[in-house]
Amino acid sequence: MESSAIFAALKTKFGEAAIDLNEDGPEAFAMVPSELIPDVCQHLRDAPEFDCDLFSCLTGVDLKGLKGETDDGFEVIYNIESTGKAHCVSLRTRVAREKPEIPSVSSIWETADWHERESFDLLGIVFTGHPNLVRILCADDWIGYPLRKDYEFPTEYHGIVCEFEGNEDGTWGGHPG
Amino acid sequence: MSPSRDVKGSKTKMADTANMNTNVHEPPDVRTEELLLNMGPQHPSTHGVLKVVAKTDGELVLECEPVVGYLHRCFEKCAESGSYVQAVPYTDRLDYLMAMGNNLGYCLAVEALMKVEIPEYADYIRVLVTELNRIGSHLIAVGTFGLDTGAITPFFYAFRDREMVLDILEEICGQRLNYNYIRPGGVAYDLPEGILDKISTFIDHMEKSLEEINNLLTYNGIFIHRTANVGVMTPEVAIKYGVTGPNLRSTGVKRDLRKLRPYSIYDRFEFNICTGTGEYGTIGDCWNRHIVRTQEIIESIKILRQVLNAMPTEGEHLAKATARKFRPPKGAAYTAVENSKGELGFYIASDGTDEPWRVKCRAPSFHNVSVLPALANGTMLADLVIILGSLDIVLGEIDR
Repeated sequence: MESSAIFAALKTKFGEAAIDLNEDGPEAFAMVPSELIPDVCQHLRDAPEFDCDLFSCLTGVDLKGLKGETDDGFEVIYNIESTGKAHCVSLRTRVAREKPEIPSVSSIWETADWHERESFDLLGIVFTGHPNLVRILCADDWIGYPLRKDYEFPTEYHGIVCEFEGNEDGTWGGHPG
Repeated sequence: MSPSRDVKGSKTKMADTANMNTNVHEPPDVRTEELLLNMGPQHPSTHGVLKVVAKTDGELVLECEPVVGYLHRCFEKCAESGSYVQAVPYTDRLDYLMAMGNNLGYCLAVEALMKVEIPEYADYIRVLVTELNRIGSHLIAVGTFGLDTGAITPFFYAFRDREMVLDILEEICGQRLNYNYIRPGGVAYDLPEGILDKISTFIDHMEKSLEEINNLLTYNGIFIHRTANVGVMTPEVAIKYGVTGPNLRSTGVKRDLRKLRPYSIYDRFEFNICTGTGEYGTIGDCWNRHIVRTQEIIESIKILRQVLNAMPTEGEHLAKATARKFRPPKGAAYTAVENSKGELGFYIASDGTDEPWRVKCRAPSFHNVSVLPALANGTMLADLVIILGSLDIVLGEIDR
């Protein structure tokens, strides 16, 4: 199925208002309210016309400080594929910074388990209903969420001192010239 | 050969002791409680700093859980902190056995946002180095898998041949493992003189050498006994856990992104998608995962021959229009390529500046290792090592 046909079918099923389409950018996606994510995902996996069995990728993005963006919450992107039908779907949802909670889809695709743990680990997005939402890449006692734009680098970890205090302009990256 | 897997109830007292001599001190009961065993993070059979926590009952693995993250350096944060081009060397260190593929995946994702036209000559070079690197990566997988099963000699054969790949790649870009060669817009340098002849000589050699490796390892009776019917993965389980690449194809699913959504110029070449044959064992077991990799070396050789035949003799290796600093328009997209381990995807979000707002890497090994409990629970501890070896994981991209 073409992605436009998939989105049209989703609109019919979940209502015109629930699915907000964006087909202008480099990747067409449907913006879905976070509470609807499990239902839409379950439908995409189970409905025979979609048959989306492969959960490719889950990405969390911190929107704080993004140019032209009034929202300072998080965007979560679900890239889903059907191996049988060879089509791809991209869903996005947004959550508020104060309460970054999204229902988990780990019961729909096993892969989502580790992906959601990673997003929790690096961005602090909470996936409610996840069976084991603990850090996966960082150490268990790590403080803060490194991929948040307001993350403060630790100056010390278990006696290991980090003496680099950032560039003079307050950034951490390197730009030769 | 199927050793008795029924370890439970193996607490057998020596029945004859009572009749022999009543004064003999009876051995205390064999302890049968479950034992929590930490394999790794420093363990040669885990192929890197991976820890597997296994709950065992004697030799039987009741449950196991891979614990990852020991090599974490937050590649994604590093990529956000510099410009688009500066992130390329970091991608080398993801799957460090297939760095060209990582470079290519990342650059294609950047180019998808930029909509840059790549010179045809550069596209040919990209396919050339990527397929060479794929052969090198599969040789490691084949060699070290043999090592896991106790076959030491094939490992040296595989490494001898991989050395030739590394020599060629070193001549092209000056590096043996972390190439930083494919850049957004093309490749960093033109090919050195006479390299195509060397590649041609190598692939002729590789074809013969692979037969040797197959005779030594793939069709070796001990190896077949050790790997066939071990760790059988069904297509459903594989897809549920997001397993891709040779591991998925070994279960019979014909999914190769080079065919499914051809990127670069892969649509110009004839090659087959190799799947598990079931010649020995069951489709989806360790032996079939191994045979897919050896077959894919042949397919890469096929692609290389076609590249050598069709390649223009000279041309631009880097798009002229490529500015020193990339500023893709605001937007985001997910782009995936077929790496030697599976689907390598990059989700890149641009805010319109020369630094990416967000780079997410979908690493194939991250998914391939997550399926381990589903395959290894209920097997013998020795099989856990074999199953792990057959999945061909690289910790550099799991931990990122």
